[in-house]
Amino acid sequence: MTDKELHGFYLELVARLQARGILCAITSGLACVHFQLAETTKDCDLLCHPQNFSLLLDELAAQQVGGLPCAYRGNLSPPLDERWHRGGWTSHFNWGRGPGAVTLDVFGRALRGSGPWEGEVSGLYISPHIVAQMKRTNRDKDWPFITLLGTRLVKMGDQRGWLHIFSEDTLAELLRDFSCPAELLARRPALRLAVERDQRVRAALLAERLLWERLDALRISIYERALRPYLVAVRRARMPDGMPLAESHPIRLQCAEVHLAVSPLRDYGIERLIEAARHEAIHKSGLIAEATLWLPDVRENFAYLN
Amino acid sequence: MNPSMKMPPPTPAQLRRLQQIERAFHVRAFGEELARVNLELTEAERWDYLSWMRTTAEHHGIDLRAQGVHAWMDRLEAEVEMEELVKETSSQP
Repeated sequence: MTDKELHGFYLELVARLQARGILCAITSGLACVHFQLAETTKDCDLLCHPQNFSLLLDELAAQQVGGLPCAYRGNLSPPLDERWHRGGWTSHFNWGRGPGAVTLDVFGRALRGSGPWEGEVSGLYISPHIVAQMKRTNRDKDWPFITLLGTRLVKMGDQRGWLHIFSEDTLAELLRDFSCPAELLARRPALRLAVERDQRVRAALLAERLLWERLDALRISIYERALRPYLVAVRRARMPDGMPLAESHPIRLQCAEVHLAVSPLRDYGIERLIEAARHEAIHKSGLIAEATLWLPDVRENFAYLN
Repeated sequence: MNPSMKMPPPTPAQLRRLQQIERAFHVRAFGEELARVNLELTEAERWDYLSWMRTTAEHHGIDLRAQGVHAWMDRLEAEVEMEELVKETSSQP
């Protein structure tokens, strides 16, 4: 499948899912390209309301690509089931294997989303605000995209864009011509420093980014530990390659019910996670202790686990 | 969106200023070429450009999925596969 065909396939798939009444929207890399930000992704990340999972599973089971059926990706994908998605898990599918595989990653919850994503769908895509929240990862490549999604939001008349700008220069340029609402200054200390033309704004932005990076790294290590016994169980179930989704899904569910914690991050403790990430972001990074005061309250970004 | 977060649409002069700010960051973050790709091409043209980038990268052996959200999952699966194979091999008579 050529890149153009692949892109067309994803758009047609999501349009068909929506036409069937499935509440879903494209997020991450493909959404970035739509928002005028070229990203070389080949995967489609899809937000889908968990109540529509069984419909989605039916659609995927019926969808072939080049004669290949849709299958769960390797042994690692958690089942497409509301219980685990409410706990922050994601499900992964592919058609075919290797570099030419067509892949679909399904998110029932917008990771790091501070509110419900369901009201933020526009056409086939989720809003830049949700994409920017989901992109706060420990990968360097995501960060310039976040700032650009922020400027795009401001251009669209959405003040939440101010929450996503991580470039000191861009903030200073914006503040010359536009004003930032007081409500956001209270939520994001780095913004307040920028408005006050405080020279510490660069350090505050760096501290904030480090916090998000550490939160993501810790999150991954927690999910990785929880995933291992499930992965072993699925492997031992020895499902043949290309097993129809209708048959493999119940087996994955059985494995998950015994071996996969529903919500490992909640079990670990959100406050504990945030405290550990704040400590690593400031003290282990050699930033001055005062930088702790510049970190935003990120608890709302984990409310999706409640 | 919370209605308090909605602001009036920018005036033409404000929009021009926002475009300048956006472009300046594009150039700083990605360079002049990608700034043109993102801000001057249509979405279809941008997809063509990305297709060329991907083909060139893959031709040179770059795995574009290695940085994906499930990179850690792929690594974990490879680790577990190796551990299980070792267990299976060592338990054989």
